[in-house]
Amino acid sequence: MAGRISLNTNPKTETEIPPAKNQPSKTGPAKPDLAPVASVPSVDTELRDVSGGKLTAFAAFPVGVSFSGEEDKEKVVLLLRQHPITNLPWILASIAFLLLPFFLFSALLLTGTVPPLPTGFKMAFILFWYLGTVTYAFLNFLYWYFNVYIVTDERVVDTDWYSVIYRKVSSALITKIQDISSTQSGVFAGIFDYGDVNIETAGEEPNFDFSRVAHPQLVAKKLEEMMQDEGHKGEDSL
Amino acid sequence: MTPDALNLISGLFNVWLWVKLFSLVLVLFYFVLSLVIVRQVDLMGQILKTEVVPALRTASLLHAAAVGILFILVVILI
Repeated sequence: MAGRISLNTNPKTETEIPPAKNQPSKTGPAKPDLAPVASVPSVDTELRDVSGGKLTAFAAFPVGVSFSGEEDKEKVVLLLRQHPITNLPWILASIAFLLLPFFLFSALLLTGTVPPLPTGFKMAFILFWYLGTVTYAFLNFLYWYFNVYIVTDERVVDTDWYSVIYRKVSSALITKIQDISSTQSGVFAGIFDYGDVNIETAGEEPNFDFSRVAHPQLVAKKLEEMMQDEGHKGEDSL
Repeated sequence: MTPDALNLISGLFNVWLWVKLFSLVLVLFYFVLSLVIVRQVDLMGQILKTEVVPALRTASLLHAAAVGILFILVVILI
């Protein structure tokens, strides 16, 4: 299931939909069955509605968030991480690691094949096992928490941590963005509303792939809106 | 071959001595990894600054301390 977002710009606050161009004006011949003027929420309102707390994967206009290389007047519009459901494999693995010693020792006791190991060794091994499990979970959490996609009012920033010592930070100006598309594939992605946002940029700027972020259509919609705003600013300055 | 030399050779084949040595080296590497994690959290916190970062720094330090205690316990227990 792939969706391409239209270039309709939504105003920043709740506003009225203007009448279509082919509709008669109020001064012209009036039609009795004119539809009432509707009020629609702006993209920003939608973003705020789905935005979460401190450990969220989707934060719109977050407070107390800044990043390396941020300029003084730059404002963070979106802070995105992979959808929390994508953490399920390592969470399940951690739970399995925690439960494994119980099952293992129960099985050994039942079969009467407990190896004659010194008590000190057993204690040290159990401590090592559980601490190792904590390390595994902690590292996975860190990679999830710090692998972020940031959208500011000026640019898009992608921070990737590949290992303990290797990271990659890439950014592109909003004005350099040429095309935005969002993709949702799979049952889980449909149920939990997550997917990829692909951003194509002009020139030597890198392309971006916001992988498995929550509400991909909404993110694409906001980026489209920002692109249009930047376009209008450019026209105004000419 | 003298009895002392025989004792030395038999000591080399003492399984528990090797198990203890292996465990110590393993936990030592684990401790180094925990220190690397502390450094990594520090670096990550410099790249992205949020309200949660101080708590993560504290967690990484506690984790390193726990691994240090494990190292001492391995020396004592095994």
